[in-house]
Amino acid sequence: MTRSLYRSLLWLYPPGFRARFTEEMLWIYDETASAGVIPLFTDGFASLFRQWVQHSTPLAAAGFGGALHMALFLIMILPMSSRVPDCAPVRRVLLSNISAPVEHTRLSGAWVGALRSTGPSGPIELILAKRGGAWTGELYLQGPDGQMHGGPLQDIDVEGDSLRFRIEAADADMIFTGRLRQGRLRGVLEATANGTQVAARARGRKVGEGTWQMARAASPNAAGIP
Amino acid sequence: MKEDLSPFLPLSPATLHILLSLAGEERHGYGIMQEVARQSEGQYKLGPGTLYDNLQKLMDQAIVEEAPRRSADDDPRRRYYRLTGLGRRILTAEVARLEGVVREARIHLRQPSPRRAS
Repeated sequence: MTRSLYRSLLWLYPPGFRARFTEEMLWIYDETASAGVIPLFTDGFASLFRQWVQHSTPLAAAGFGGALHMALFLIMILPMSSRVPDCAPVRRVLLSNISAPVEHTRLSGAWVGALRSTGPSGPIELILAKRGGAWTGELYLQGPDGQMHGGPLQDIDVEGDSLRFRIEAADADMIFTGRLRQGRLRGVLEATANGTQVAARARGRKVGEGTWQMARAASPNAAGIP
Repeated sequence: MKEDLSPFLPLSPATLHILLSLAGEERHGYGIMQEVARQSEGQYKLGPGTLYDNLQKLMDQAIVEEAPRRSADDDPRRRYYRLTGLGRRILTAEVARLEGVVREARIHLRQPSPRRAS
């Protein structure tokens, strides 16, 4: 349960920091929690405070207010953790507090990277970069024929946390519509190949600086991607 | 022309320890925490929040950069960090500054100023 609480604490960080370091912080938590979680939570709250102070956005107050709520809640609940049969109320409290920062996640130059997919029709690789204030990129996916299909991204539209682009290749037209949420990119890749329209949900996560891993979610018509 | 590193100095204790831990080799976050504890003989312990607060700042200032993963089998959550050339020069400058502080401290501690007789 304390791991869930620590994960929830990480959700209260500003989106950029969260996307960049949450996985590593959770990994360190897993490695060190056996020695005691109180120092981890103390350090986490201090760091959370510093992060929101540095982020002088209008959301800072909301975010820090949420953190304060959570701190008070933790103080009440940690000593009694063995007597709490179900953590559903905890989740409700945390979700109500983090809703504002999550909805203001932004795509920015920090999200440069590659998306790789290991779907049923082979890997997808997406390079997306912001250069000189403009987004550029390429997407390639391996079709059932073993050939790579795709090309440069066109009409890249980034607005808030939403990402949309299309690809007009000789053998396939594709449109990707997705959103960056909670440090993960999720969306739908629709492709028209040989007059047949197919679509697949896709989700990606950052696995390293400039590197994203993308996996295809189950979809009835996912296998039809060229 | 000599590079002016004064805007970066003095380093905070956390920053100094992080840069020192990366001076020998690239390390992942948990490795940095362990190395800091080792170098300070357990007297200075970095938490993950403090560590990544500092790493974020240091990467934004191009003092530290992310290094490529060592192998494909490595845990994907494990990312490696290393000093940049600028980071190494800043650390060198900070160590030189601290040497000056220690030298001054030794001089003053060995030779207490004479007291005026009342």
